[in-house]
Amino acid sequence: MSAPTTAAVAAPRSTGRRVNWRRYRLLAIGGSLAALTLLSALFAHVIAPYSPYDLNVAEMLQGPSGAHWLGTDELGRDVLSRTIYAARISVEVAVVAVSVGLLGGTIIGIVSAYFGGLVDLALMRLMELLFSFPAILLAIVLMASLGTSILNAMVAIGIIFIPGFSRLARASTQAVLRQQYVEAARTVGMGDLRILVREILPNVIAPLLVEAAVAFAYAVLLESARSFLGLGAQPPEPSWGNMLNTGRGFMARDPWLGIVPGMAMFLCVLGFNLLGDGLRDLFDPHLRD
Amino acid sequence: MDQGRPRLPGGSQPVLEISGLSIEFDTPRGVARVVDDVSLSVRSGEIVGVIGESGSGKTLTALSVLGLLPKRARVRSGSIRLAGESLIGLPEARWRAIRGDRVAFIPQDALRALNPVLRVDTQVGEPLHLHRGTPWQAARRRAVDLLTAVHLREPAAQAKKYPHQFSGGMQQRAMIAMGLALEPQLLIADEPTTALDVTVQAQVLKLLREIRDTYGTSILFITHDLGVVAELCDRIYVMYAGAIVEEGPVRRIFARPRHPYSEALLRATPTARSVQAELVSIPGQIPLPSELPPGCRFVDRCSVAFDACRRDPPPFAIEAGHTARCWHCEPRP
Amino acid sequence: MSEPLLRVSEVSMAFDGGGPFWRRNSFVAVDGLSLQIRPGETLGIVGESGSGKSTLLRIILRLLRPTAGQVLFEGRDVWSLSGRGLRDMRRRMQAVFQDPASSFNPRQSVGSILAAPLEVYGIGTRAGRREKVAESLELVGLNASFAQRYPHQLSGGQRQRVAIARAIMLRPALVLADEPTSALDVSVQAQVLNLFKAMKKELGLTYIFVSHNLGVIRYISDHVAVMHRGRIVETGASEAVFSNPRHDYTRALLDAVPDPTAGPLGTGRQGQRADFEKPATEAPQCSK
Repeated sequence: MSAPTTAAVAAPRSTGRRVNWRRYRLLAIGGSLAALTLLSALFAHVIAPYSPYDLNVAEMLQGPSGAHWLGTDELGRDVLSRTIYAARISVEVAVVAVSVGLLGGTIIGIVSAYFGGLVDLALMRLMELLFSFPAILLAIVLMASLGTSILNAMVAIGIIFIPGFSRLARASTQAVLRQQYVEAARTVGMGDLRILVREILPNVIAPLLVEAAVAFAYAVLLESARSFLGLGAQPPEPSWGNMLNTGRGFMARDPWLGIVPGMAMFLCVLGFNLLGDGLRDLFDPHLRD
Repeated sequence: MDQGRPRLPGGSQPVLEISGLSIEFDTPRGVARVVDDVSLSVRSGEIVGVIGESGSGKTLTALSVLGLLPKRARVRSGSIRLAGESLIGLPEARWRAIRGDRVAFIPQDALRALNPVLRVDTQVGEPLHLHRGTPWQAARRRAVDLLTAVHLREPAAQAKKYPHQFSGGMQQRAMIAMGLALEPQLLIADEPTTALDVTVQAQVLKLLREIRDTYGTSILFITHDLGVVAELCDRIYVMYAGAIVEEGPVRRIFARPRHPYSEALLRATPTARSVQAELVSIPGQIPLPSELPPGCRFVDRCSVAFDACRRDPPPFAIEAGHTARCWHCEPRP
Repeated sequence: MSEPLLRVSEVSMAFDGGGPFWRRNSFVAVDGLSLQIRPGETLGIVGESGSGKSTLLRIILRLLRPTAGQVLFEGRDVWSLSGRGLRDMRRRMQAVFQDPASSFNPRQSVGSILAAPLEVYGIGTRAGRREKVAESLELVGLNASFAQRYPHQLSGGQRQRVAIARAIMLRPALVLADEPTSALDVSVQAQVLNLFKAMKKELGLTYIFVSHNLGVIRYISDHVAVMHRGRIVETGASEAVFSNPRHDYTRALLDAVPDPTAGPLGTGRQGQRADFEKPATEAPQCSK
């Protein structure tokens, strides 16, 4: 029943920013894990105790110890350092992919909803086409056609994200178009471009950012899947995916080789997912005011 | 509608008696008392109106009679008696038995109150099924009788339709039919005609009067529309910022309002039936419950305030059944 | 006899009513409607839901293209204009909308919202615009500090004042108001209606006021047009139409309005009503 809720919320009518720590819990946890990943990527050379490439066959396959906190791999390299450096690849790919997806999807979605008609029809059918391919398959196909350079791989994943973002942008734009302030802007004489940038974009961006956080996590997974299959970062470059692949063979006796990159990936993906949830909680009740 | 239950003889005990009710919320600025020491009663067969603007506390008062206050609201003090039974602190199971059976609610937005995926006859008959164990077939048949009683055209055919196929007026009639299903002693209507066209509103008001005349059901009518209470109600309570500032027979209050707020409200209401030189608006704004002025709550906006108004006036009796909370009404020695 | 500021000529609006594509239904919201309004007038358009009044408003504002008919503003067909001509027209015709909750971009401050029309037309410098914004706020009875606030921090009445301020920023000739007070409390409604009247006098505006509330229309309009199912069924000077309605529908509407001054005491109340015209500074009621 909305009547009592309106009465209840209407009582503290102006700002009343009550600090509800519960609301920020997800944001805090997610944010920390996400920040950890990003910092590892940016400052790997500072944080990591060893170089990821230093071979030392003499010390191979050692378990966790004082010198090597997470042990060494089959070539004597420090697992912790390799895990930290591996974040770089994941973050790089994810950042480019999410940017491509967010930018492309937002523009397509907003334009689609704003102009409607044939434009909307054509663009949305195109998006559906893209959407109907399984992501990993599409990624591989795109890379086969665009070439296997790392940049192309990132763009390929980005293209996979465009339909998702475009749908979200389109739905949000349609909700905004129903608001009277868009009509009001038109009566004042604003042109289409100005309306799109001033009135629509700022009000549509919130759910897109939430989606971007989640997409980031997915991009990391896609990149790792690729590397796991041997199509991504090539040795000696560490990536969580190829470390997992190698670790697979050693699961019986030296399980940490597989568990560590797996855990790193898990924490990264969890972090960005929680960040997305936290952002969503952050935006919603405020907007409901 | 058949005479299911023996009714209380009119006038012996009020159907509803609220005494000194106060409801509070916690806000960042402190405790907000949104309903302050409200006392009202509804006798058998009476139509009582509660008039107020936003922030007056009228809806919360009505919801407290149904046990539907929002979770964060606290009943600080006071009592609510429905046909003698105390409602404060009732367990939820007892509330469920009471709601629909002894007191029914008619909300403002009928469409939102109706389940879009259930047929109208199913919904109107639902109270019978829930409270009396009537099997669905029989309940739906009863629903058609009820829809006839509320003057829905072609009730048998319409009953099989879904809420979105009904017009606003029809939806509201369906809600009223649902409210009457168990022959409650009291109907609480919260702005039931605000969203309706004026011609449809006239029909719904007529229907409510008819229900009272035929079945003796009491009605507690919450609204902000002065015209509606003038037409429908026997007695009214005028609420402002959480308290009742004037109460009495509707004709008396409209002829000579005693509280400056009641009078200001009348003057600020545009009327279609007579010439109006000027709408006199009330300066200022309705205060937030957490920011009430000390003393009489209307003092900041009142054109006849004087020094006594620094203290909150108690209700003064003007004549039988008519009181107002204004120092100007203090009986002279 | 001055030229009509606005002339609506045989305007019809048919919407797609669904159905199979070989036999599409159409729903006629506005049906061959004509009206005109002279400078300085206030025309009230009253009707219930489904009467087409909001559609008519959008057609006049050139937000919707009618399926037939013409809208002539200051002698020119609004749909023949484009580019510069269109912007000039828009500048002269502004609107105040109903829903105080969704009339404003929640992400913009009041000052930014009010400065927007000035920016669109390249009026003044940034500082000059700030001044004009402050001026407009004062005109509608709000402190200049409101420019820093955001829409969700304002009450319904304050928002409508800002909506009025936005409409008058460009000093238009014609202001259209679509149920501007329907969502407001009675006491706030009175303030806003009086503000409309004051603005009209101050700035020499012409109004078209749409509402379903007959009392409001009677109070604010010189002329009234009663709409029913897309047509105007009765029109004329407000006082004439309200005191002596000729069309059945108008009569039905007036009869249906519940009125605090009417009732069993009938005309006796009219006399009593006159008491309310006296200023409240007289001796308080109870001591009489």
